[in-house]
Amino acid sequence: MSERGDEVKLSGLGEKELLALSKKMLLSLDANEMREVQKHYKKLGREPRQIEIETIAQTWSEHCKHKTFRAEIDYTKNGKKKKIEGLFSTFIRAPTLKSKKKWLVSVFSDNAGIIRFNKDYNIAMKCETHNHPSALDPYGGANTGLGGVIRDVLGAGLGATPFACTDVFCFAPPDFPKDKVPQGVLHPKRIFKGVRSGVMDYGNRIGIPTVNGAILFDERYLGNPLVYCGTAGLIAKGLEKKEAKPGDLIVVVGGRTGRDGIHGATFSSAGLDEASTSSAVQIGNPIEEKKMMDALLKARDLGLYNSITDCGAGGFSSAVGEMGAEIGARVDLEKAPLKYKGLRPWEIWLSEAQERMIVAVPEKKFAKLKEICEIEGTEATVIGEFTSTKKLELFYNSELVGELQMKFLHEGVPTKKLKAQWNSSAGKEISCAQPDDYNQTLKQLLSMPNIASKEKTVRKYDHEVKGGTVGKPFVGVENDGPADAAIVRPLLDDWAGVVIANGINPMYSDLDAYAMACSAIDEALRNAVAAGADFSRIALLDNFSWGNPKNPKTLGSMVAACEACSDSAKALDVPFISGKDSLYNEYCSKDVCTAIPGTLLISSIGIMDDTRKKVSMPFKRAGNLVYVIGETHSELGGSHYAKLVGSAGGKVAKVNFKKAKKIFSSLSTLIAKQKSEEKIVAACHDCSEGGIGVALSEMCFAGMLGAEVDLKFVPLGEKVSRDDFILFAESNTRFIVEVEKSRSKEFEKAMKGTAFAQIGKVTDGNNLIVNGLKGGKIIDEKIGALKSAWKGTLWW
Amino acid sequence: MHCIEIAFSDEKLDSAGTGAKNDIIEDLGILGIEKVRFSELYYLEFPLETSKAREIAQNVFLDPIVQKFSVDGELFADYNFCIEVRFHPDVTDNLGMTAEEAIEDYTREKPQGHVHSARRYYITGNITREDAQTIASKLLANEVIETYKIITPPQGAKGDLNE
Repeated sequence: MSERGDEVKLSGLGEKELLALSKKMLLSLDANEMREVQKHYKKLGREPRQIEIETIAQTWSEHCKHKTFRAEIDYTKNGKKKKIEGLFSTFIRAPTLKSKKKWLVSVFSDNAGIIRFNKDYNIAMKCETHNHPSALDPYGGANTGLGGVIRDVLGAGLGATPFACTDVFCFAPPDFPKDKVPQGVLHPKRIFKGVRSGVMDYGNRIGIPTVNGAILFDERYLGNPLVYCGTAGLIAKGLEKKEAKPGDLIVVVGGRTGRDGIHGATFSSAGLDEASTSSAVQIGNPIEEKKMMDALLKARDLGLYNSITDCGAGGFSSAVGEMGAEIGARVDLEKAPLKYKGLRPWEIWLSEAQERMIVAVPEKKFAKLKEICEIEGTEATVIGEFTSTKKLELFYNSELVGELQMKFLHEGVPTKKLKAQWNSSAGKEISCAQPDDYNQTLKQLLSMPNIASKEKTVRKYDHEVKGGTVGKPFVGVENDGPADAAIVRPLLDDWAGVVIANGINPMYSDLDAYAMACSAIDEALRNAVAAGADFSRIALLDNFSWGNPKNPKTLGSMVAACEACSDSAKALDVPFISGKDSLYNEYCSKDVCTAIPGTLLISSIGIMDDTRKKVSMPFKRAGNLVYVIGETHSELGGSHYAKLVGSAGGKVAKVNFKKAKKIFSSLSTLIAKQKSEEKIVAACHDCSEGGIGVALSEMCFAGMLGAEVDLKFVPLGEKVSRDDFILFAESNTRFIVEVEKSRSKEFEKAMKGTAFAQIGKVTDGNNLIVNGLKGGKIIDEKIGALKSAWKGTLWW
Repeated sequence: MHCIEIAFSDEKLDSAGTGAKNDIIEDLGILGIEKVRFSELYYLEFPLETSKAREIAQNVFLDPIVQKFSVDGELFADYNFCIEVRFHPDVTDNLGMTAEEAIEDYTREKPQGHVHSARRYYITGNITREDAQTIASKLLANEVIETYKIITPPQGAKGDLNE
């Protein structure tokens, strides 16, 4: 066979045959797209070569082009029809562009979003999903998920220095019955342990702290576990722009190319089934990435290259294709260093072997770059050059094996047309009997896997390396209370810090995707504000993991979630700076397809000018006053309490944007204003899973102090006459705050205009005591017993 | 071609083995396990004198204070089943590639072929071959990227090999 590769015969094929071909070659292109390719090559008067059609398929993949987020959607909401010209531009990007915040440096245009940090530096942040690979090989999938997002940040602007990572996972419950796990699926506990080791081995070995995260459980994640990885990086001002120039050498730096992960991008754009195989799996090597990173950061500081990007999904094809999109590129595939012999040209071009970056290097600077790479023990190899032909020309041993027009490659993909449908629900509140024994109920809630301590997992990660982690994942007298957010000082000679938090609540998705998205945003913000972030300088990142968008109801719930992002961003004046989506998360076995619940991860990144003013969540001193900020509603739908008592339906927690904005800005201003050595707000914790009951318990056992509170003082947004509803409702924008007892006037003055009330005091007893609406004690439990319940579930 | 095997001498230091034992009991519910010993293998896929392979084992791979090694033998003999796990041929083997570099650093010449890594779990306990199969496929090896084989002790084996 000639190295020209096989020609793929398209001419004369009908729709069915085109689709069959797409499926056989794992292209994941639909009939419409295949027809477009057919038309293009008919015009050229020839058949496409395999390398060309593979390049088109990967460039046009859902993973790279986000076709669903750019699609034209006929949306029917509560019976009313509406046309949406692209979810991304309408709902995510538009509010950010309108916000005109001066501290936004680069949004939605690069590998990562970039915001201002201090007078000399900016911060880049990116969050990614690595779901499909983690389902097949949890260790390698998580490993390369982290490696990939670190490279994204390293490839942001002219290169940011990664300084912190976050990880959020969704799995099926670890006690899922073994005999019910379908053929070809790994047991969720095995996936959990594999993913955890993957994160540990990558993050710890490369020397970047893993500072924040979350782990959630739902049975529908059985065939489709979700693995989100995020990285934040530091980049000097002025380095945010990059541009490859014609004549620049195309240089690959880092690892060698093998047969790893061929078809990863197209694979992630298809659903999983029993037959999914190994070729999509990549293996990570943190030491290789560390060497590459060190070399590139040195080269960045010496100004040795004009542009940089990582080889992610699609490998060279997407890295070179994107960098040269406006100019053109010529690649000599035989020059790429290989792990082993025998790769065909298209395999070299599309391999997703890890730990590789592409840089555009002016010819006279290449020798210096090569020298630096040799010192760091990594490779730098010229594989071609950027041109001004507006074409992508691929050679193998001087023979032209593929030629594509940049314009067709990047703009030729037909806009998808999709239908979506959504109805908002007014839902009746859950119905259940009040508990006989609140002590027991509270302990049961604390031991639910979503709420229970994740310390056994988090402690496997190094969250201290680099020495900047000032707000740690676990806080309190015994260092085991759950912190709301991580705080990192990327520059050790500056007290300013970066606050990293997240919000996610797929449990609300089934009832009301709009409220779910608002809640996730609210949670991400309140976690950041609780720790001390400046509310006027918080940016958000969105990560959508959804089922099959061809199902109008599935897509409808995603449209509703996007509308929520837009409404929240505008009303709260908080911009999105970067995002990602992973669709087709459904697993089919024997004709039964299970989709994941629509899962939106919101990551927040905030700045605080002086990290010494940070506030942590444990109670600090007996005698101090306990306040609740924010209104409690009868909002139990999708709550952990509803799940515990087995009650479906219910009213989902909503967000009142106006009140939320006032609370966030008042609390944030107060925390920023107080003196670090004599704080008014001694402790602050957000109320989320399990409501006030769980938040109070956590503050008690983290601080090893008791508390006594009265439910009758809790500020309500409507009439709520049940103790259990007040204790366990998951209403948004609520905080529990411990106020220094002599400073209550200052606190109340600062919070004027918001709903807040003192509900009790911190005590030096051993118990959490809660008095019900009718007076008497309804909870009187030892904090040790609460802590044991919280720690017991996931202690492996 | 030779195979170098490295393991901790003292069972107490063998956290990978102990971890596997706990997972077998807790996650798979196979209770008859007495002990699991773990070892790392390096297949040197090129011609080499046995004495040179021993020299490389001692100078490149072994920590002589806490570990023991063998060349072309099994390090443990008091087991019922031994499960050996290695990658499929095309899957990236970082440990193997690093081993190649380390050998090159020591011998000052490029090895004439590749090194492939593998690992063994020597299981002692009252379990059946079927149990061993379950342990291999459900816990120790991911057949998407790895293969495994189950080894039973040779006839007449006595005690640990100790070199």
